[in-house]
Amino acid sequence: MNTPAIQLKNVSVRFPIRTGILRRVVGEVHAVDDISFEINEGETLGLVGESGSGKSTTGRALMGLAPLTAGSVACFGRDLKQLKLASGALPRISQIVFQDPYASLNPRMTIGETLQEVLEVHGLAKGRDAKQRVDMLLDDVGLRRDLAERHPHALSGGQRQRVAIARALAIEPKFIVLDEVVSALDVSIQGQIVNLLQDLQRDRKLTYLFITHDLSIVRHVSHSLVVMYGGQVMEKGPRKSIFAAPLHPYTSALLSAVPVPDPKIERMRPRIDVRSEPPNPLAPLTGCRFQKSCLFASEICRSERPQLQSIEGHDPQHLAACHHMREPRVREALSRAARGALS
Amino acid sequence: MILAQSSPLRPISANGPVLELKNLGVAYGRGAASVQVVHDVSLAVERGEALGIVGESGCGKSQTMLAALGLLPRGGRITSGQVLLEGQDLVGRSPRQMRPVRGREIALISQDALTSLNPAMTIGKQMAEPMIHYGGMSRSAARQRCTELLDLVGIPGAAARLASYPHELSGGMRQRALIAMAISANPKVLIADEPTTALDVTTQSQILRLIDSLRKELGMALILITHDLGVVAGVADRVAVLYAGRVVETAETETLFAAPRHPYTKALLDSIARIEDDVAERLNPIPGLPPDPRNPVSGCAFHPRCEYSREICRNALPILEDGTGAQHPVRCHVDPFVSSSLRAVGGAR
Repeated sequence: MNTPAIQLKNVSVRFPIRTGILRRVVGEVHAVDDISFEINEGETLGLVGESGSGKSTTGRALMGLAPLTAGSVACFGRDLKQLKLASGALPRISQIVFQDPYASLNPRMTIGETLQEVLEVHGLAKGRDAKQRVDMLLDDVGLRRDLAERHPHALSGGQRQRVAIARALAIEPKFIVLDEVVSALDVSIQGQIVNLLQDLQRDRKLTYLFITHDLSIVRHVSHSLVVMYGGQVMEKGPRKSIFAAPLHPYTSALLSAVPVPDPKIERMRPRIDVRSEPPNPLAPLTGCRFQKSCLFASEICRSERPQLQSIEGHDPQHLAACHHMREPRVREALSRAARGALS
Repeated sequence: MILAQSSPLRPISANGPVLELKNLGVAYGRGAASVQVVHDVSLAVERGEALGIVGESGCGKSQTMLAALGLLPRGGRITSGQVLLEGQDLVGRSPRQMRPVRGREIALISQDALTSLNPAMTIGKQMAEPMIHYGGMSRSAARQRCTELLDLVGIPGAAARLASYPHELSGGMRQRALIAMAISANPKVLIADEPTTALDVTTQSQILRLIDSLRKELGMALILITHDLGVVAGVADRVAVLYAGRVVETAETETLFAAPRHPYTKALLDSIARIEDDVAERLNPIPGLPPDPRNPVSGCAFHPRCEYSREICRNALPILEDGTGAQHPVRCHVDPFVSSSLRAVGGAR
């Protein structure tokens, strides 16, 4: 087996809460709590969860933008800490694209200047050479070359997202974190960006971490999936196995929530509901993080943290952390909801 | 033709529509610099009915509703048409005359609950204020009513939440609080403008079902504005599709999904990443971009992005007409799906 391109081992990220003049630490935000996963080179891992699940913090940690409290990250066989120390080494391997390109592009610079700056800062090209590279980058992301003269405000949302992707590509990274890159776009345009990302991946063997709350997009782009809730991994494994039969009630709830664009199915299908009580990252629960929102929670869910395990008859790489996932009534309810969403 | 343009959505009940837009036009700026963003839009919604308005960013869906509420920003104006609330035209009313209409007759829920709520005021206070000032309620009665409303929209521990500030609530809870405020005066029409776009899918699903159940419980008419056809599938009775400021198709929801007639509607449906699709399939986005209203497209505004466009589409604006007599008007010269839609309607009968 090849070594994975990206490997997280028992990663935790906690942010101290400081107060008063002395900035004393009075508590901690448990953003990410002991998570592990791997991404193979040239593949896409879909990281799914709702706001506050720790999915964006995980992406930022991979970019060295959030400090690891515990655990380790390896990027293409090199430790993240070493990469951070070597100036410029990390950005040359990994890049990140955010949800809102309007907020991440300098409004006073033209698109061409923005892209040229990246090339110059990283010493990849200068002057006329850089201009040529900018033209090629615009070609790569399907933008007309004359857009280089425009400012971000003169572009549509989809065009701006293409610019953000071009900026990430400028450094020729091997790995790109895509943090909700299509969530702010019209449904009719989302596919343009998704198709572009898939073409780029195929042509350049890029590795992606695709962060989103939208399971329907994830199904199109991912080879494997990690479902997070309250900073922990609830379920992970190959995409095929998870969509064929989700093991965790939370994954099933996410599937139930995706609107099916068919009025007949949408109004009739069985769902797994969540009670709306988002987890409190300041005081994480003992036991299962999903207990308060789960329909199947019992005493053991409140006292004991479930471990990620596989289940007989499923892909051995498909793991879920649920005390009740082997019970027939739970399996039955989950598979009915999954069939309702996927029929 | 005139009939088709003025009432493409024939009322089903005898009561007539509670809110009806007739040939509404909206423009920004004056003279040569004037930009028309809404053209000749006619829509109607009945008591207890849910109408979905679907289109991409910039298609004029929000502008249409802001115009109906008399809330167009500076520079915007209604250039034609009527906004009839139970037969009374609201166009031309002064801000003072509009005030009792908004909230009490027509309420609005917008996309971003955080910017719609006052961050420096508790939920209870901002909810109770209009009840006390306009409703003439006593402080304690208003408090009682606020608790009931928060309870109704599914906020746990409603009485305690009255003392919370907006930032202390999650996105979903804020949207629920906003819905509670919107329904507090028992409006006849609730306009929800992308009410779930900023929310997680699980919260989105809950909020949509909440809005839908409140509509049924309180007998309000609902206008749901969204760019996502998936969102209207579960809620709307009828859907109007807007493109470049014009209605291009309206139909009952099931008919629209089963047998769309306009190529744009078909393209919107095809662009949705369906959860049942597999990874190998590419998504089918609509190529290109919606037109910029400052540079209007000749003929049918969709023709540059349309795979069925012909010579006539570049030259002449198609009219919105209901050729089939099946309450399914469409604005298209080519109407490539007409045979399949006829089949579907025939089969449904």
